[in-house]
Amino acid sequence: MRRASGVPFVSLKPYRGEAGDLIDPVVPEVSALMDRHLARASQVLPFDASDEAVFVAAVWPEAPSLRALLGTLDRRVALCRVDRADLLAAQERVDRSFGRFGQVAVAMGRLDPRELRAALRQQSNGGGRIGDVLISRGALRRLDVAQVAARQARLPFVDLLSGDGSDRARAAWDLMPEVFWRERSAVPIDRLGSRLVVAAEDPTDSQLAEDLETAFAGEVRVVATGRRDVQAALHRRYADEYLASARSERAGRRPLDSARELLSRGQKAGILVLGGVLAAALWRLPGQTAVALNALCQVGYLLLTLFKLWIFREPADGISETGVSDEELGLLAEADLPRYTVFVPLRGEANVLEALMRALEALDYPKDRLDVKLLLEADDPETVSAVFGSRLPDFVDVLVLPAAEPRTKPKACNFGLLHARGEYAVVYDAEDVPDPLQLRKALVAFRRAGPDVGCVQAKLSYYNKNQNLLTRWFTTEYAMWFGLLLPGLQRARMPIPLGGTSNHLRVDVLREIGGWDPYNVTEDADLGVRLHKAGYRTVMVDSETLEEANSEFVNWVRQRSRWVKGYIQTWLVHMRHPLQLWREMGPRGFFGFHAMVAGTPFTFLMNPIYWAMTTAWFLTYWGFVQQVFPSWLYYMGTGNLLLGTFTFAYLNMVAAYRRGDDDLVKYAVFGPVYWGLMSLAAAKALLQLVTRPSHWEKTAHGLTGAAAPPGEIGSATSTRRAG
Amino acid sequence: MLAATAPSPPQPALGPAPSARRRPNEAPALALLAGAIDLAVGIHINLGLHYIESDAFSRVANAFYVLYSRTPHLAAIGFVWNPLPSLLELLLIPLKVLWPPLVTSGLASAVVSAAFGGLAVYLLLCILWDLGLPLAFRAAAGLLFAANPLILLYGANGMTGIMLIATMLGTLRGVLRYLERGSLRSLTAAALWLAVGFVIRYEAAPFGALLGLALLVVLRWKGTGWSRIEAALLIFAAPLVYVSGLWLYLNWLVMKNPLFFMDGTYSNAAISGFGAYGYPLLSQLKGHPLHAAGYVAGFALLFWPVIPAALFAVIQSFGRRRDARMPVLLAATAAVPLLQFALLYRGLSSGVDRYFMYYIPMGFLLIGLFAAKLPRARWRWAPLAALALVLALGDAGTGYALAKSPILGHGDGPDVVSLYQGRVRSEYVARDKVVAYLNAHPDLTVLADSAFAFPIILRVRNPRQLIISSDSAFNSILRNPRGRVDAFLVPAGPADQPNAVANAWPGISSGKISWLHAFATFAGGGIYELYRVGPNAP
Repeated sequence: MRRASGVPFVSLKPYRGEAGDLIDPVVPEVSALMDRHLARASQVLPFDASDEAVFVAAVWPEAPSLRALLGTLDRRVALCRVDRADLLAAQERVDRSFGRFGQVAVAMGRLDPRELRAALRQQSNGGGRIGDVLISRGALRRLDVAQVAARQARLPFVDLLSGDGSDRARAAWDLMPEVFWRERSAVPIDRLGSRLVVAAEDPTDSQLAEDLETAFAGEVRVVATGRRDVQAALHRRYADEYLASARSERAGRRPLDSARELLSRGQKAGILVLGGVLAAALWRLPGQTAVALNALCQVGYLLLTLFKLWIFREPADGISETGVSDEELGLLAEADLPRYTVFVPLRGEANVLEALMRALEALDYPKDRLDVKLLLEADDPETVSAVFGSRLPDFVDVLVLPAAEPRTKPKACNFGLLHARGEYAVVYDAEDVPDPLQLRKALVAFRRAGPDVGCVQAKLSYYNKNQNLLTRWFTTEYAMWFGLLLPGLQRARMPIPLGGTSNHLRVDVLREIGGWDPYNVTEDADLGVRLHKAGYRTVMVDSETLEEANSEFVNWVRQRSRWVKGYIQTWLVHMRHPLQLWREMGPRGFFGFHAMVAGTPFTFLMNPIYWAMTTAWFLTYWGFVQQVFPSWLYYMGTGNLLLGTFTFAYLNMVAAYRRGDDDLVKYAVFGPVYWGLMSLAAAKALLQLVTRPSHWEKTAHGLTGAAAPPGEIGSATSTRRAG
Repeated sequence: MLAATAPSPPQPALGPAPSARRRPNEAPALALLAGAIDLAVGIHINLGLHYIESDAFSRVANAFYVLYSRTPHLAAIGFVWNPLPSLLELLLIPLKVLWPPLVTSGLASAVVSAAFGGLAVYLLLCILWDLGLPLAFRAAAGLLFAANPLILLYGANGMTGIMLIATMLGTLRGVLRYLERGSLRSLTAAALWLAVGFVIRYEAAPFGALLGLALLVVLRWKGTGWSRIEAALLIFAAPLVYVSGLWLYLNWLVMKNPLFFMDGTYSNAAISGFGAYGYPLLSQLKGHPLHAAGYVAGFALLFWPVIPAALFAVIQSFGRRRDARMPVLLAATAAVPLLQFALLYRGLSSGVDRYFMYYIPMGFLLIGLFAAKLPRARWRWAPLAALALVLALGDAGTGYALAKSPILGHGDGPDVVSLYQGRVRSEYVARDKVVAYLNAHPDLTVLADSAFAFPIILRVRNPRQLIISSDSAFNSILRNPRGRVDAFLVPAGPADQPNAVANAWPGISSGKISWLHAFATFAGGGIYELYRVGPNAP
């Protein structure tokens, strides 16, 4: 750069760099800062920019008319002199770089021409925007697309990831509600007098500028940016609101419909009254009261056994869940597939990140319509750094939740729900390996089932089933739960306590019912009940997600105690007003709710008491046992013990066989030992319900040496489509 | 032929469609008709001809003790015996206030056996329907089955034979459907029917064992993996094994001997020890396998069509066009006879006709399967009609065998003839005299072994006048009766059956027990004696 008359002279000719590569000193995006026609008429060209200034080349830098034109740049200008021929050549090069998207991408060196031709062929068959097609083919990253689009539109591209652009437009945020910025994927970055500069993921969205101009009553200039840039800016601006919303929106809007308060005042009063009456009865009539309590438990137990037998009467032949054939999958038009959000909450799970990415990549769904949200916690630096340190595919967004209570998965999911862009959403755990066709199967199930279906639940099973005895039992239990019990509930049109993952939800329904309860540690079961109360059905789909079965006893007890605690929480939450619940659910739903949500922990808690009494009787002929078991009750109790024990062990055997886990059938015979472990966990849950009701007992993953090979994902029930 | 769908994963697609019909339309009506006929015959022979089998009557008594003995409790039902018949009859006992003969004549047992008679027809029709046989043939076969003299008798007389047959048919239906369609539901249904069969009669155990063996063979034929076979067999056997274990446990709990049902006081072994099975012919079978085998095989003539049909099934079990259903039906046919072979060889069975009545339903099924293999041509009606005629001739053969053959009619033959001729039994004169005496002396408390005294217990006006075997203090009072009971009731004459009183105090009838004095004797169709407990009793 030479100096003449105080204005430095600049050459805009491309030159060879030290590595021998050709460097063009003109940055086309910067040239887009000025109107192209005005720039040509005035013989000027913005050609580069730094944090402090925009560098503008002019043939006549002293021309008075130039001052007004440079004023439109809204920032400090470093003016340079340039040869006219040099300027004209540079302007030609800039013009050439703003062609069709593909040409621009090729010209920018971001795209191989052969890949462009293949993408164009795919676009002509399956539809979609070429940028999305290129992303789905892995030819471009989303950031590339945003930059190419900016170049094409002759708009500057701004980087918001590291900057603090929102500071200069603090007041402008309030022009529109948060939802506007989020849904339009745009953020205000600067405001100077009557001029507002907005960065948008899609700067060609004319409606965006129009809406803003109406609200702003001034000139709006839209520049391009990336989606992650928008999200970063949104999170900087609305961090507190997002957290408050994820944490307490539901609790704040309907306090009684959340587990934030374990007991309502009415429930506390009820427990006090009931406890008082019981204590008085035990004081005055101990024998009769003990018999009455025992009878109540025995009748409840018997009803539960009969209920489950009734529920299981049909699904043994696999006719209850929605099966999806290859033909039906083939009929799904690629172009009609909606955007699908996938929530993956992660905490302390850096070790399974690689496997998770493999599983997500394996999903057979157009990647341009996948909206994966990795939900991290700010106080989990290991996972955060592992995620940010890895090269994530473009369909993956990372949301980092501020460190705050409650530290629960549902809070993370609510956080993700705020940013969900899909029409449908599904929750997967970090170690999940879903059937690659699961999203498509869920779509078919939704479309076939009708508008009253709010959720499609896929089945869960384990890929490390043969790791040890605990995992074998766990697998047979899941086979029974997802293969027999939940399909049976679906058939009986009763509320389905959803499984922890692989529940596919309509996003509009999810938002309508307020998302997840962040204080409930089995938010899935609670959500299933609330869906039912809101009049939505849940259906099962014959597609599997493989998870890692807990192979360590202590870890298993922690996980199971959380589940039991959550069921009790859920029961308490929905029983704030029993009569209202009856009206909302109807008698069938009401009974099913109690049988599943209250009955499950009830049996876990009752089993050891009765086992202990039976053992005590046979060892010592303790008079107390005889006293609380008059003959009629003794027979009912014996029947419960003998019938119940066999029934559930046998159902586990049948379920294992039905799933094709033939080698597990023999282990299911000894299932009652496993129930002893469940009872242990239930006791822990009961204790923790009082001491730490919303504490999330995190399950450690990655304890198995073997992960499911991607090629075998969900192979028990699904087939891959050819090609 | 078996369908191509082997019962291997993935399973769900193999099940029937939700709307698929599971049973033939005519089955409920024909089952009701058969049950009603059984009940009508049962009432006629019981109330009109005074005919009831003592086993059936005692099962009603067992149910009666639960509610009306001095210490009402469920265990009075006697859990060392296959308890389901009495448990079902227990539901009818309270209805005695509306219709006393349900208890006093033991008609509750006839109601239950008639219900199972109807159920057996229903399940037979379902299997024939599964085989694809036309309505006319099914209806003819169902009615002919119900009309078979032995089937009709056991549907009417309150005994357990027909009950076991119904559960066997339920088991077979499940197994055949499982093999045909891979339906897991059918396999579990088969397993549960089998377990139900076991709580009726323990012949269900060898029946299940042989069916399991047949399943193993057939599944291997079909190329099913060992792991899958093991799982299927576990599911098939688990309920039976569980119930068997429970039975052993209850035997131990009640009698402190898990094998009480096999070697206890009232078991076949004990009864044979008394010489009850000491017929000359049976003696020739003991220890002679060929004789025993010949005896067992000869009973196939109770329903002769089973013989050619079984031969056909044997042929169809081999070769390229083998049919997997054939070995299953052959195993089902052979199971109980094989058990009887073992028992007769050891001298532990009375070898009566009712132990071989299972040939009859298996004969109907084998003929049905033969019919199902006929080509579906226009002339098919002719061979089907001929096969129906064969079944009718089989029924006639049953009647002929019972009436004319002292071997094949061993057990029920004479009864069938006398019932057919409408002759009234009058062998309960002594029993009724005891009842009249007790009713006339309501303050008299009497201890009696219910194994022989049950007809009296059921008929006496106040059953609590009697201290019976299921009362918790029975043994104590028997050993130390002074001041606790007025008299002992004992059957007189040569002891041909176990009797707790005589066992405890041998020599009663010969006056060797000084504190027992006979003060009343009742004769007619047996002799009973009442012994007063003297003041010098222990």
